Amino acid sequence: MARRGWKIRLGRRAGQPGPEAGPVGRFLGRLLATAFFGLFFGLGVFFTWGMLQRAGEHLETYRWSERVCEVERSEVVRAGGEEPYEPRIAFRSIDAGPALRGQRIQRRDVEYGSHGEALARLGPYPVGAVATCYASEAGELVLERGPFWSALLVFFPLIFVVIGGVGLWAIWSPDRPTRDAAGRPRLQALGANFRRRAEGRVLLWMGALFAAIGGLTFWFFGALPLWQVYEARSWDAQRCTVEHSSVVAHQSDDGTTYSVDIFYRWDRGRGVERSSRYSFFGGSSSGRAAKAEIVAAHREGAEVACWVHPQTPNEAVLERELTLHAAVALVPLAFLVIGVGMLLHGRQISGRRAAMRSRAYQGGLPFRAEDPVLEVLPTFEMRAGPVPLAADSPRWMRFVGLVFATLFWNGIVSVFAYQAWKSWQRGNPEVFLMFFLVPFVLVGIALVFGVIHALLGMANPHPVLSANASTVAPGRSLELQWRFRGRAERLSRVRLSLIGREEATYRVGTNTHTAQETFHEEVLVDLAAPSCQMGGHVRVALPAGAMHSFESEHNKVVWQLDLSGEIERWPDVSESYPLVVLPLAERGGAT
Amino acid sequence: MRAHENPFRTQRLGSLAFRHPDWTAKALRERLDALGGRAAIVGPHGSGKTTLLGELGAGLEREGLRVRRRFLNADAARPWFPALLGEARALRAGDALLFDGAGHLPRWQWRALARAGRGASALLVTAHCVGLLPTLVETRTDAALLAELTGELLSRPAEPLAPLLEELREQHAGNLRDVFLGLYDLAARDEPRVAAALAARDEPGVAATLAAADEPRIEALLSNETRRKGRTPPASRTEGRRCR
Amino acid sequence: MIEIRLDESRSAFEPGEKLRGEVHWVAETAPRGLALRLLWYTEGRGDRDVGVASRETLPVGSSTGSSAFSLEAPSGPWSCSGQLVSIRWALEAELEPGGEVARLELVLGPGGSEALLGQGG
Repeated sequence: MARRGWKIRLGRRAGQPGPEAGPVGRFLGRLLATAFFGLFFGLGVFFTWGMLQRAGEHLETYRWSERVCEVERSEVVRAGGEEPYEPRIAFRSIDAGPALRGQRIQRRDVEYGSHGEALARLGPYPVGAVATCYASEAGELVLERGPFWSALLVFFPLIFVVIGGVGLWAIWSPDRPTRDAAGRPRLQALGANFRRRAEGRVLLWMGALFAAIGGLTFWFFGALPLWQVYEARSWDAQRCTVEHSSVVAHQSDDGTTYSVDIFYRWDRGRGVERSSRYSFFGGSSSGRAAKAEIVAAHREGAEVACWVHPQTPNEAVLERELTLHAAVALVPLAFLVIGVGMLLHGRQISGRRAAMRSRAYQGGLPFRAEDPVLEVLPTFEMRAGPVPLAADSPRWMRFVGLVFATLFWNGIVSVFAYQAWKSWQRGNPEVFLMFFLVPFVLVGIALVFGVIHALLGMANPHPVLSANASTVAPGRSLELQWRFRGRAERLSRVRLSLIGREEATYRVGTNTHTAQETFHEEVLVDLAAPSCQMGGHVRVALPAGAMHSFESEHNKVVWQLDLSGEIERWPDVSESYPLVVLPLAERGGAT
Repeated sequence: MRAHENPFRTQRLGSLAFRHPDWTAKALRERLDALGGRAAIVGPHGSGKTTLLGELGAGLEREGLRVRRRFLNADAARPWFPALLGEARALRAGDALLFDGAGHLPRWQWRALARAGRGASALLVTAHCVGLLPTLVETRTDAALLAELTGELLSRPAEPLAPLLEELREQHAGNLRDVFLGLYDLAARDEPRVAAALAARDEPGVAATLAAADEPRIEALLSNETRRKGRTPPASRTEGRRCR
Repeated sequence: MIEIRLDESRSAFEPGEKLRGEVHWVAETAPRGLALRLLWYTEGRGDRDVGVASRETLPVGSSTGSSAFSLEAPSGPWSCSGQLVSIRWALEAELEPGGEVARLELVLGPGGSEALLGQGG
């Protein structure tokens, strides 16, 4: 296809061998990966330590002696801060042991952002209640032992520690020598080889983690509130009196966010209830003005409409509709989507590699008697069609991967760039930092352009290729059906080719290279101005004397279908579909 | 041309014996002893360092030493240094450590490793620069060496290919392995000059070369007369560049 | 001395065929064993890979003798030749101890011929 001078090609066309990363590229790649996994590891260790400490405090109470106590005070107090509702309790021992007093339910009590939650905490301990309590040898008294399962919570941050640790180890682990002490070849082992072979498994684990975190977060902060919004349509309308109303500021490293704190009461007929829930979507966000407006509409002493749960009259809400704040719930959904995508792609890669790989060892001849006998042929899955063929690297995965990489990279770089900019603003520029950041900023800009390019590509017509079977053999045929979903009329040319390629990897001195040679290129479809034909059928016949698919450590025979579409003044469409050609000899000609 | 017929295939290159205009096998072995068994093979890319290291290692094994081999290149992850150091500390008399690519280690790691490996009978490394250990030999390449090796692969003199060889040698800055890989590609594509040279090669000589592949040979190759005829190679020497 | 001879002096086989033949040896002392291996290996631009399809230990009784064998040729990989990669098959017989090895090159593929990458493949 003719190259247009103004079109910048950021990726390689399907089937073309890609450039190999030079030393600088490999170093930057390692640096990026180390920063990524180091972050996981560091945060994981930090939170694991914190959780272990807390769990230790709770578990210690299981050695304390059991006593009997009476509650003297039990109320919710509104203090200041981001979690203003504090359960206050006071109790004393009333049994035969030493007289002790306590003011904590557990060794560590917490404050709450909602009055209802704080009240629920005090539910089992009204004034005058007699309850079991626990005393330490030092005279500390609590009403409850810590939850035993708190020790299990440490496994959550441990996941980050494991991921970070495995990632760092895989990046920096030593190469096992390819020859043993006697100079005989040995099987390729873990470490650097794990890096090359385990892309699929890494994607699976990472995808599972992202999906789990995104899913859990979306469930609690997105799906549940959405369900409550739906349910609240049947709640009863009430008149509520505002007792307190203010905007609360939450300080963090990223800046200040705001939330509304409105404390109100209503009469349920059998007593007064109180709540501080404004809407089902909690949390805080930037933009003080909007919160101030809400607070102004709910001044202290004002009577406002509220909605009360018909079955649990102590549960209420002031705003039961969907608000713009609900959009924040979509953020964890993005992690869930990314995680599922990584899971699917990782499964695809693992499966394909398992199907394609023929394990062997790098060795010399003659083969030594003590070397192991290895499986010679690949396993594969045969399915009858129509079978959708999977692209080597779906463009949406490329886009998601680029977005993630861009956000991660620019997120980290922006912190330092901000510092450098602030120093320049103060009139005391950190020159070294500024120069040091230049290559990182350039990479970040390139990534942004890459995202834009990939995004433009996402708007392209989407190629879909299916076949009547998942595999083929030399001398046999495959019926292909191709089409484009989306605005296929933008395509000015469509091309479908069958490619056979041999690949050889070799070590040259201190570097490793891979040479590729296309031994078969057959154009199956070549349509110019295909606006009247967005799809078609074609039969592809593998030559009778063709070689089957083969993959060993350093040598490969690869078959694939390349489907591409040219679009004027826009990134082209280009996908590669690996094809498994089986070692089945055809007898009596092609089907 | 088919891959297994290509005289410049990787497996054939591995069978080429090391050769040097100034040193014989016996002389290098004696020099290694004179240096206390601790020396570095220094030279640019594709000048035969790994080949010589392999042949010396095979010789040490035949003498009864227990040879341990380590390899490091720009692609490999850095070794876990504590493990490497522990391995060096465990070396005793009768052990030999051959470290191909030791120059890729950070300097401080190399110094610690060299100190730790003092117990070994032999410590032999390859590097692109001098200074890691006393230099056993500085490998270099020139037109005559390339011609001789090419002739060995073709099993006949390589004079007809002389202009092509010189062109490739300059293109690859004296890196003979890259030159031979370039020749591989040309042979694979039936480039006319290479094809003509291959058509005239002596087939039985190929078999003899293959049969002797496992035997290490370090031979003095060039006569003084031949060496004077060779042109000065471009950028194929380390020229005493010190490791930093 | 050790030598592999295949029945009918064949050197080309189809996948699934039986490889029958004998290994003949002449040694100074009676060997402890005789290992026979059917393997493939690559040649060309890339580093060599080797895969062993099957191996067996043949009976030996004296310093001179022969032992028959019968191996099944696997379904693949087929012998092939390309510009960068060639896959070759061989039978190897090794006397133990001593390490003397005999190798016999074979072709394994449909019709007993190798696949050519780039010519109809």
